[in-house]
Amino acid sequence: MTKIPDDIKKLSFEKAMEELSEIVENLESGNIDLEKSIEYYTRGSQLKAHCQQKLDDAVLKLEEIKVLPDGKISKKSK
Amino acid sequence: MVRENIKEYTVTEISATIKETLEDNFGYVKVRGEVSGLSKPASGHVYLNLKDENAIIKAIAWRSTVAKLSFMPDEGLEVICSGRLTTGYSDRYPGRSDYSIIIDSIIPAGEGALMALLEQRKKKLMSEGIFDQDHKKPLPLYPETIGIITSPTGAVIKDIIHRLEDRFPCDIILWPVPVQGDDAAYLIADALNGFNNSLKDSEIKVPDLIIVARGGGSIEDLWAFNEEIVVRAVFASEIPVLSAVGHETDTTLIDFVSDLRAPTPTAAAELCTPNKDELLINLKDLQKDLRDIINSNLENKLSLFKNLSDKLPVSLKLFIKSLLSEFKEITQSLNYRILEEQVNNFQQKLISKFEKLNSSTNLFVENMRNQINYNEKLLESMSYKSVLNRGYSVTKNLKNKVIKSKKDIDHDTNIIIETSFAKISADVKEIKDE
Repeated sequence: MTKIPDDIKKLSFEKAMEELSEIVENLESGNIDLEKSIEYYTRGSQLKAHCQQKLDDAVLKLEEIKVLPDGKISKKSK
Repeated sequence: MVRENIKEYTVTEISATIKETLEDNFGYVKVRGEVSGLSKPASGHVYLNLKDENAIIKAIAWRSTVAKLSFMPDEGLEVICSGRLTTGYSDRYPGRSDYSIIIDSIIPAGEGALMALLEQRKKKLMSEGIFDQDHKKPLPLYPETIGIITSPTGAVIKDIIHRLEDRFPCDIILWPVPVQGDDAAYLIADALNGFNNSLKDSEIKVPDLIIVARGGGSIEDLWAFNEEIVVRAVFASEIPVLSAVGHETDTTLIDFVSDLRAPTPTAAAELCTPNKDELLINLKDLQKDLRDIINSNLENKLSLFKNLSDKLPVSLKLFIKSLLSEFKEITQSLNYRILEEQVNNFQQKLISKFEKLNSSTNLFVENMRNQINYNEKLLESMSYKSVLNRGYSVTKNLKNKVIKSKKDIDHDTNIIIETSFAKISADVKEIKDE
């Protein structure tokens, strides 16, 4: 299992997907030296693992807003 | 027949009791009827009667309500009035015990009237630019929190949750509202504003997207979603709004102002989320792409390296060979041909130079000779001989020196007298001083 660094763990699914696509694009464009491409590969794999984990762990959580008589907002979990 | 055991009221008491009974039993009502006796006095309040074939009831819209009415009734038009049923509304007759409806809202009744009102409102909002495409915001690709404004009961919320569960499980915040009835429009607008403004300091996450949903119904049922207050709240929302009201064939004004319109609530769930299963496949593909690219990159570099290292000895050999052949070529050409040619060339050049020199020298000599001849003639013309021609003579001693003084002459020697025609030898006999 790929170890996911903390800075990636903080990324939202959207940001991680975005960066992953960018990395693939960069690699596809060629003209990247070997060391850089291995760096990209590592980062890409970590991003992919992060996205996969987010999807695997995703559960639907439902909350309901309750407007209190004084107009304040609270929630009741369902 | 007079009954003795009946309770006796004062007028105030009975009026108060009637008021209480009426308000307790009805409170808020919605009454459909034809407008008659419409009166709009200078006070700004609007008075009218609602009637049908059998009955009539008074209705009043206070000035403050009139200002907010989305629709101004006309005499004879069929309308639906919402409001409070009460007695003794009047300040002048506080205890007056007749009853009436205090109007909160009036809408035209009947599909035709509603459609006409809808068209009119649509035109007005459109002219304000509220439906313009450039106000539309893009929906997030991967929403993490979705706000839903709909009824907490019923099929709609269940359908949406079910679909989201399948496709892209995420956080859902339901803001429960009535989706029809008098307060619906107000509360829907409130929920839209609330999602945008009221959650920032709360523990509840601000959603990335809001779905406003309702199941199908008649135009009257869906009317809340045509109200200006709702349309304007959607327009003001900084969070993208996806509308899913009624069935595909129903169109309400919220659909024009929302950032995206879904034909049904289930479709809304699909439109605003990616499919998790497809995403997982995409991720796998991306991983494969990564690996393929890296591998082909490595292979390319490796084959390039191999190619180069294979070529190295060969190219070294080739290099030396080429050096050798170049050297050979140079030494060969040095040998004869070129050298000979060069010598020949040099010779040729020398000869030509020499010839040039020669010819110019000849010319020079010729010139000199001519010059000399000319000078000789000039000299001749100026020499003493031409003077002799005029009868003079020159006397010289034997040393051929012109005699210019006494010491040039010796006694008993010869002198020579030169004339233009002869040289005469003579003896010196005597020398007398002049």
